[in-house]
Amino acid sequence: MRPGGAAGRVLVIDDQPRTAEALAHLASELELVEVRAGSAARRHARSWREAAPLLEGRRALDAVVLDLHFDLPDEDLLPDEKPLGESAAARRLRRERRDRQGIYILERLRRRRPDLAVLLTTAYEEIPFEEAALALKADAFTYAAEEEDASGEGLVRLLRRMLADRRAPQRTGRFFWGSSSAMRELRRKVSALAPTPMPLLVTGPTGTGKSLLVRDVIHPLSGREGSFVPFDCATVPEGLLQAALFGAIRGAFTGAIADRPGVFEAAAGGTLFLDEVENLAADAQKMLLTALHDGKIRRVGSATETAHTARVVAASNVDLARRVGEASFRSDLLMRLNPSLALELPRLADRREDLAELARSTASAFFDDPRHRRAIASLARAAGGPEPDGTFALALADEEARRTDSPVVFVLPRKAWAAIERHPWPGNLRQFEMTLTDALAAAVYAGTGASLDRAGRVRIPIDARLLFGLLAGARASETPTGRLVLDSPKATTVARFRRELEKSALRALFRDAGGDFERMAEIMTGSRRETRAVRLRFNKIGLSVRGER
Amino acid sequence: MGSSRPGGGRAAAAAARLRHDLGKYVRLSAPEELETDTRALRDRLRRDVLATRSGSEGERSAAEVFEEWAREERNAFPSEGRLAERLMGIASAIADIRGLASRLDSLSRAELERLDRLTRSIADDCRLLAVEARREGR
Repeated sequence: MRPGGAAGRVLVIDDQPRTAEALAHLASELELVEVRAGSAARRHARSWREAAPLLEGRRALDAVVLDLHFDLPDEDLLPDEKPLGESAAARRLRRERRDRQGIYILERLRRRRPDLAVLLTTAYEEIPFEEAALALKADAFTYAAEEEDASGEGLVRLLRRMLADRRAPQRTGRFFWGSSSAMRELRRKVSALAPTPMPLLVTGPTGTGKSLLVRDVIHPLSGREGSFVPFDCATVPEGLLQAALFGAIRGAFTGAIADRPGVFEAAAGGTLFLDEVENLAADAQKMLLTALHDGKIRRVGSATETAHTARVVAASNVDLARRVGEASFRSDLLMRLNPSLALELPRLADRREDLAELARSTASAFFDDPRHRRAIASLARAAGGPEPDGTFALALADEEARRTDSPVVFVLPRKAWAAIERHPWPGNLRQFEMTLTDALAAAVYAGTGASLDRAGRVRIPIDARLLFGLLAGARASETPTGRLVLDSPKATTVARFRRELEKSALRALFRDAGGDFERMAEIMTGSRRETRAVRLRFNKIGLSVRGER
Repeated sequence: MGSSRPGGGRAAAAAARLRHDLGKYVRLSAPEELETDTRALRDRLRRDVLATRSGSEGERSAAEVFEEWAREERNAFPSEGRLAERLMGIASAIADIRGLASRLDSLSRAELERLDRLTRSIADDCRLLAVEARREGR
C-alpha cells in the first residue's frame, strides 16, 4: 500500500465519466488522476490530447484504464485530430475512428510508456481483427465476449489484480518471469489472454518453462474452478491415445472392463494442458479438432457425444507451421489453436539480461529448502559467525559480496559469472537452475567450508573450477553423442596402450557425467564413496578439468 | 487499416457498438450482490439508467441511448430470425425501463428490484446480440 492508503494511481481515459465514477465509488483506495478542464476538475481524460501530458506528470502512474469507443468531435480524434467534413465517406471514417479510438490511443501511449499497466475496457474478441496484435499491448480486457458482462465490481477486481501483478515478485509459482523486454511483453499477453475461454498455444524450446507457465500462471489467471490436467501427448502409445483423451466405455476394446473418463472430462471446467501436441497421431488430431470446433467429445465405443467444458492449452517445441507443410500436423487444428496469439517463450540465450535475477531467484529457492538451511547454518557456526537469522544471499562477484547486508553470502567468482553469461544454455532455464543448484549444493556439502570476512560476514565460496566443469558437462550433454565411446588408442607398448585406454575412458566418463566427479564415481562404482579417488586418478593420468572443458 | 471485425459485417459492428454504449454502462455501478439499502439501490439505478452516457447535449438515459442507436443501426439487422428476436427483447425491456424510470423516486423496493433485473436482462441481451451477430458473420 502507498502512503495515504492508495493502492495505485490510475488515469482513466474515457469520453464518458461513468467508469471513473464507478471506480471512485467502488475502489476508494485508488487515486484517480484529476484533469483540469477550465475551472472544473474531472477524474477522466476525454481524449489523447488531454491524457498525453498526464503521462509525464511529476508523480508516477501505476495504471491506465482505457475505453475503446470515443464519441468525440473530429478535432479530438486520432490519428490526425482534424475535421473530416460531412460527405458519406467522411461519416464512415468518423465512425471507424470513434469505434477504434482506444486502439489509436494505446498505440501512442505505448510509444511513450512501454511498461505502464493498461486495462482496456472492452472484450478482446470485439476489437477489429486487424488491430488484435496491437491490442495485445494492453495488459487486460474487462470482459470476454462470451462471458457475462463485467459489473463495476468486476472492473475493480480486474484492476486490483493487474496492479498486484505489477508488484508481484519475479516468480509466479515456480515460473520465472524476469524483466527482459521479451518477458514483459509475454506477461502482458498472458494477462490479456489467460482469462478468455480461447484455446491457446504455448511455444518455445525445451526447458523454457512452458508447462510451468500454463500450470502456475495461465490456469490460476483463467478463474476456472475445475482442475489443471496435464497430458503428455508423447508418452501415451498411439493405440491408447483416443481413450486417454476422450475416455472409453466398457467393452470398447480388450481390457476396457469399465467405463472410463478421459482427460477432457477430468479437466471439466478447468484447463487441459496438451504438452508436445505435435506428437498426436492423425486420428487423435482429427478428434481434437472436433472437440475444439464443436465443443463435444465422444468416448471410444460410444455412439453419443457430450459437451465438454475444458479449456485447452497446447504446447509444442517444434515449428507447427512447418509440420503442417510436411503434412504431419493438420492446418485446421493449428488454426483452432490461435497461432497468431501464440505465447512464445524465448530461449535463455535471447534474454541474458535476466540471468542475474534468475541466479538470485534460483539461489533463493535453494535457500528456502529447510535441509539446505540447516546445513548452511551449521557451516556458518563452524566459521565462527553469528547465529544465522535465515537471511542468505548470492553475490555474483567479490565486490557485490562486500556490499550485501546479508550475514551469510555465497560468493561466485567474477570469472565464473562471466562464463555463465557467455554460456549458450541450450537446455535453457531448466539447465541453468540445475547447474547453479548443483554448484550451491557442492559449496554447502562438498566445498572448502566458510570463512569470516572483515565485516564479520560469513563467506561461502562457490568453486569456479567445479562450475566450469558443470558448464562443460552442460555443453556436452546437449549432443546425443555425449555417451561413453572409446576409440582404441594407438600405442607402442601394451602398458602405454592400457594407460591411453584408461585416459580415453576417464575423458569420456567426465563428459558423460557433465563434469561432475560424484556422478563419475557413481557411474564407475555405483556409489559416491570413491569420488576423491576418481578425481585423483583423473589428475594423475594427465587430465584436467580446465583442459576438458 | 481495414474495417472488418471478426465475423465481419455491419450488424456485428453495430451490435458491438450497442453492447459498448448500452450493455456496458447500464450496469456499470452495480455491485455483485444487490444492495440491501434501498436508498443505495435507487441511487445506483439513477446513475445507471438515467445518466447512462453523456454527450454534448448532457446526460442521456438508457432509453435515449438505445433509441439513438436504433435510429442509426436498426436497418443493419434482418427483420426476422434470432437477431431480430434478440433486438425485440431489448426494445421491450427498454420500454419497461422507461415506464419505471419516469417515477424512480417513488418506486417501491420490489419495483426497484424489477428495474435492476431489467438492467441485467439488457446487459445480457446486448452481449448475446454481439456474440450471435459475430457468429452469423453479419
